[in-house]
Amino acid sequence: MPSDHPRANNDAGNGGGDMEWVETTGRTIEEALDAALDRLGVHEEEVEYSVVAEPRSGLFGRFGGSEARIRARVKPISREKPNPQRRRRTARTERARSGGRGAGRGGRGDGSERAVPKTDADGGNAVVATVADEDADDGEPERPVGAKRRRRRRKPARVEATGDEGAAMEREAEVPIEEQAEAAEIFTRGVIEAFGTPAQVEAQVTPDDGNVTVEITGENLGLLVGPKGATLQALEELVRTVVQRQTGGHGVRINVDVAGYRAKRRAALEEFTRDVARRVIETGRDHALEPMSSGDRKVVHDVAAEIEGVETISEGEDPRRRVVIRPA
Amino acid sequence: MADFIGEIEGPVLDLGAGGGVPGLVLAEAWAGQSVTLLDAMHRRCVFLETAVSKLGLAARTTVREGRAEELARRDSMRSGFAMVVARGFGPPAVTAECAAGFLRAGGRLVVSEPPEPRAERWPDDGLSRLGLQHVRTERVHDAGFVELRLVGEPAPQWPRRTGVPSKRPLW
Repeated sequence: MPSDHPRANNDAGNGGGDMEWVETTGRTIEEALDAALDRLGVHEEEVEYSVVAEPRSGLFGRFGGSEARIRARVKPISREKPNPQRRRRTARTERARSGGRGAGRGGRGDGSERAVPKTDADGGNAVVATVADEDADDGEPERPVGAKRRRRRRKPARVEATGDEGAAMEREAEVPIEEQAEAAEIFTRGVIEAFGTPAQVEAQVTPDDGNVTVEITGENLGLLVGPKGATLQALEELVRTVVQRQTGGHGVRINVDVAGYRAKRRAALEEFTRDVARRVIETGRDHALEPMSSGDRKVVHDVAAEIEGVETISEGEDPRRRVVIRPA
Repeated sequence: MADFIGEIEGPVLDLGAGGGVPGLVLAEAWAGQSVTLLDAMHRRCVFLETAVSKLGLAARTTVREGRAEELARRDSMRSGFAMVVARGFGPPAVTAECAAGFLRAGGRLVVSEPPEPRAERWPDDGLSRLGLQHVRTERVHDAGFVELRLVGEPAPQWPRRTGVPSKRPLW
C-alpha cells in the first residue's frame, strides 16, 4: 500500500510532487526490495530504502522465519547538481559497502585492506601460542600432551602456510587411519544408542584424501541433524575430539554425516554459489555472503574458482568470517 | 501499459525483458505484433524461450540474449524498431541511451515510471543529446509511464561501450 510520507515534503527538489514511499515484505531484504521495485516500476539503482525489519536469518540467509520489511521510494532528484556522475557512483559504493543485502551486519571496511594484516596477526599468534604451549608442556606425560599441543598448533599453522580456507592438512598420523575410523565408528554408535534412535553407523576411509567419513543411516534422523545441522555439527566435534584423545591420532579429518544431509547441503550451497556468481558477473558488483563455517567457505571458494569472471576472498574473523564474491 | 501505448506501427523491442514484463504480456495482448525480447542473462532468456513456445508466440516473438549496448550496434537490430518498451531496466539516462540505438526515426520509447511520475527524471537537455523528445508522462491505472520519441536518425555514438552508460550516465 503506497502511502504519502510526511518527510517527503521536506525533500529538496522533488518537484513539488507527492513522494511515494512503498512498504514491502519478503523472505529476505533482497526479495522485499524486488517487490518494491516491481511496485515502483523502476530499476534498483533508482531507489533508496530503509529496512524496517530484518528477516530472521536462516540457512545461507535464504530460509528464515520472520519476513523482512522495507520502505522504499524513488530517489528524489536533487536540484543542485554539482556532479551527477560522482553522486551516483558514491551512492553505489555505499550500498555495496554497507552490504544492503543483509550481509553486512558485522560491517567492516574494505576486504583488501584487511586481508594482509589479518594473516600477519594470525601468524603472530601462531608463534606465540606454540611457544607458550611447549613451555607449559614440559615434563608432562607423553601422549595426551602431544595430542593437545599438536591440535592447537595445527590450526594457526594452516592459516600461516596457505592463507586459505580448509587447505589440506599435513598427514602425520602415527596411528593407522583404519584404527581411528574404527574408534570413530564405535563412539558414534554409542552416542546414537544413547539417543535411543535405531540407526546404522559405518565409518569409511576415503581413499583419495585419507579422510574418515562416519555415515549414519536410518529412519527419522532429523533429531541428529538439528536446526541448521547444529546437532550434527556438535556430534562431529565430539567424535573428532574423542577419537583424537583415544588414539592420539590427528591430522586425519573426520566427517560425520547423517542420511546424506551434508551431501544435500553441499549441493544446495554449490547451486547457491553459482547463482550468486552469475549475478556478480551480470551486475559487476561485489556480493558478500552470509558468514559461514570454514568448510562451507571452502565449498564456495572451490565452486567459484571454476567460474570464469569471478574471484573470491574471505574477510572478517570467525565466527563471522564470510566470503565475498567479486568480478575478476 | 498497452492502454498507455495505444496504436503501434511496427516491430517492438522489450529492453531487459526479464520475467516477461512487459514484453511477453504485450506480445500476448497484441495479436499479429512482432516482438523481440532482449535480456543479458542466460537463465532469463531460457525462461523466456520456454514461455514463448508454451504460449504459442514463437512465430512472431524472438528472444535475444546479450547486452543492449552491443546489440544496439548490430545491423540486424540497430534502428530496427518502431517501439522500445522497458520496465525496471535502469535509471532513465541508461534506459534512454540504450534504447536510442534500437529506434528507427520517429520511433517511440515507452518506459514504466513510479506511480507518481515526475517529468524531471527525463530532462530535455539530456534527451536532446540522444535525439529524443519527451512526448508525455501519464498515470494509467496504478502505474506511471513516460513516452519519448526519437526525432531523426539515432546519433552514431550512442550507446557507448558496455557498462559505460550506467557508469557515466548522461544525466
